[in-house]
Amino acid sequence: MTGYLVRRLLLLVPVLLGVTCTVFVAMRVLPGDLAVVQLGEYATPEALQAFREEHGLNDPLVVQYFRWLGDLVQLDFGESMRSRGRPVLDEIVQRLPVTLELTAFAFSFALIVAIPSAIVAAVKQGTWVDYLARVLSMLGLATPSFVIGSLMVALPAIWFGWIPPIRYVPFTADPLGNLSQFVLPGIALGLILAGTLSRMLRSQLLEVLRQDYVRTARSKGLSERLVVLRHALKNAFIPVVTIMGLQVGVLMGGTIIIESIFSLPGIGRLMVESVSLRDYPTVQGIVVFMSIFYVLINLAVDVMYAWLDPRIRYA
Amino acid sequence: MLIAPYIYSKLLRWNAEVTEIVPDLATSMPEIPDRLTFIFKLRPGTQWWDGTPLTSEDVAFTFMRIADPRLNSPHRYKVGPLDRVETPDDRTAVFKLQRPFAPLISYLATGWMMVLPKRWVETKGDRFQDALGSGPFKIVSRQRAVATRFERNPLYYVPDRPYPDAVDFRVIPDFATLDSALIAGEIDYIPTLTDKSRVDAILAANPRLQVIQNPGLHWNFFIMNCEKPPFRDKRVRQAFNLLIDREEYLKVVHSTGGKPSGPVTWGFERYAIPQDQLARLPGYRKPKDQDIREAKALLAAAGYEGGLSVHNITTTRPEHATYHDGSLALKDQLARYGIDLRLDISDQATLQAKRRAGAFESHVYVNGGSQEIDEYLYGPHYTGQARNVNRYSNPELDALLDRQREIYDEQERAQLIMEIQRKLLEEVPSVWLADPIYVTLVSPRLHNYKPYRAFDLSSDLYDAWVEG
Repeated sequence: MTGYLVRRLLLLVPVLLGVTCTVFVAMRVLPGDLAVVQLGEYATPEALQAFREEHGLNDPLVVQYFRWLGDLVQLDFGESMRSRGRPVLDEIVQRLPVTLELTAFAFSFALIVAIPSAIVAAVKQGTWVDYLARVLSMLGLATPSFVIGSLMVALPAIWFGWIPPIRYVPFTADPLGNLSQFVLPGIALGLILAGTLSRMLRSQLLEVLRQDYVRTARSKGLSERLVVLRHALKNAFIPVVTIMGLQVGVLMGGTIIIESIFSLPGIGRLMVESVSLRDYPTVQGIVVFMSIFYVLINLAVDVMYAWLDPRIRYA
Repeated sequence: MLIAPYIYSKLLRWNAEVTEIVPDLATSMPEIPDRLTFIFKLRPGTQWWDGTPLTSEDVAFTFMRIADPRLNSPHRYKVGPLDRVETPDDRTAVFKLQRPFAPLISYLATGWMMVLPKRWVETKGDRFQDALGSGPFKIVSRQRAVATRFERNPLYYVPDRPYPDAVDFRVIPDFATLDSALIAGEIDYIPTLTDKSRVDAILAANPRLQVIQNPGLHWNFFIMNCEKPPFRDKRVRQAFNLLIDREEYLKVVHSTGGKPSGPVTWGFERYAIPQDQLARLPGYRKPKDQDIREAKALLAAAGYEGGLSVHNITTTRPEHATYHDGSLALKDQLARYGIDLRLDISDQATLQAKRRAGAFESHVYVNGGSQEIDEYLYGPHYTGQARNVNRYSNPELDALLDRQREIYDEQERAQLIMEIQRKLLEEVPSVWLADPIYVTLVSPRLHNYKPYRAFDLSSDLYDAWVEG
């Protein structure tokens, strides 16, 4: 197991090299001039030239890339252009808790909704409960999170003169206030995942419930609850966990819209602002940071397989 | 720019109605013993937040910094031919010019001309995060592009101003959330709305909101790249000016209403061509039959009898909806006359780069916001100026633009500015479109809020107070 983990962590190196290379090139390929965006389009050519010189933008791209990479391995993500010299890492660290909390809420909501509904739908296959669960999961899957999010903000305002909290409060300042502001965004973001997981888990459960060992468990006289929860559910979860790992990326992408709708100052909003301002160091820093996070989550998912099914061994 | 006016003071400032320049840090309007000297006396007892005195040394530092060619300030043209600022004592600042510069007083009263603390900027820089100001409010916390919190500055030179103890600025990027926040009373106002359906929807949900309407100082115009064909040919530019229906543009783009504008927006009453005169000019006449006939003849003479295709840059950025909506409105209008406006849609950064590089043929743009007329005419039309996006050049016009800068008599200057506008309408470096009536929706609990008409926001909350 340890050897497997080390090998997987070593694999991070080529993955991250690929990510750094891709995001570096992508930002430079984008049309638009960083100096013009930062200084304004009426800035004099001398000022623009001085800006480019100061930030090393006149150096060959290869030099710029390796300089950035060299800083990166020392955990120096560079300085944000939009914040006029603030370290990118500080910006990310300030915004990251918001996005992580939002993602955690969305994930929790998806699990809380998907698991029971999938179990009930599978056990009661073909009944109205099953049909209802399937229709609702399809609805969750088919409705974009920005539509749900916008309705969650606009409808209460129109009907009751109330909107969800849009003034971000850190957890340390007001724990209850902090948690309450993530409930609706978490639901808006988690609905698609809930729909996906519910459908996936239902179909896996149906398959597992037809297996011989489940029949054996039933014939031993175990209660249906025990059969489903202890014997079937764990095995049905393996492909679902894979999907959950992959969906972390989708959720992270979804935060960009949801953070804007609910005025949450997270990484998603920082990313949008930074791309539009061509803030190379910040965009690059965010992408690298998120890539590491994504890879580690999926590593954790792989490790979970062994727990879910002891037959799986890592060579 | 949204932050600076709240935390800094200027020597002079415009009142909220933009009708009068009033002293700010200065005790009175400057003394002008000759055309090259402006003497400002500073109010006694003005202080920075930390209690250190604000002196003429700070004034001299601020304006020499703007004038310093090494700093390349984009606002350097506003201090014109400033040679030096002398400081005979702590409370006197003497501006010495190399040549006469009539717009100086007015420019000093506009936004961007904030007096900065010399010692602070020299040691800590000029970031808002670490600012030291002298204005009505102090920054107590700030997260860029998220929120800024101001509190009343107890050392402000006017003892009973401002009334609000604190102001929270929040950036709400989503329009639906912004509107919902106003409806629910979570925020106190939304300024500069020009979409009637949006205003109506908000008011239907909360009829208790106050509605304030006022003209702006921004102008909508159709920029034509005068260096490139087809707009290098004046006849083509004139034809576009004749074909575009400004009232129709207004209905589509700014449904809160408005009026057609000449080179100076109709909201700038002191200098704008009166509407009755404008209505008799080519391009503004109703019905448009004669304009259309003349336009077709001009296009035919320029070799475009069968129509033409024109590249148009625009963006979908929500804050610049006018660019996109305007391009669409004109595309529809011009298609009736065989003109294909090919929209090239990109993000804001790309648009800026294209505009700066002149990589376009046409563009619907909104500019302005200043209280000084020079900013409407000189920058956008003088040969080689960075703000001359059209790349228009006309030595005869340049001479007129130079002359208006040297005339101190307001009436005489106004006459020359009218002449410049007529010249511009004949040359048509741009097609000036129509400018809206801005609607500001204000919470019933906020009183005496005066919506800003220019970029200089310092006056909007100056007399405002909040109930309960």
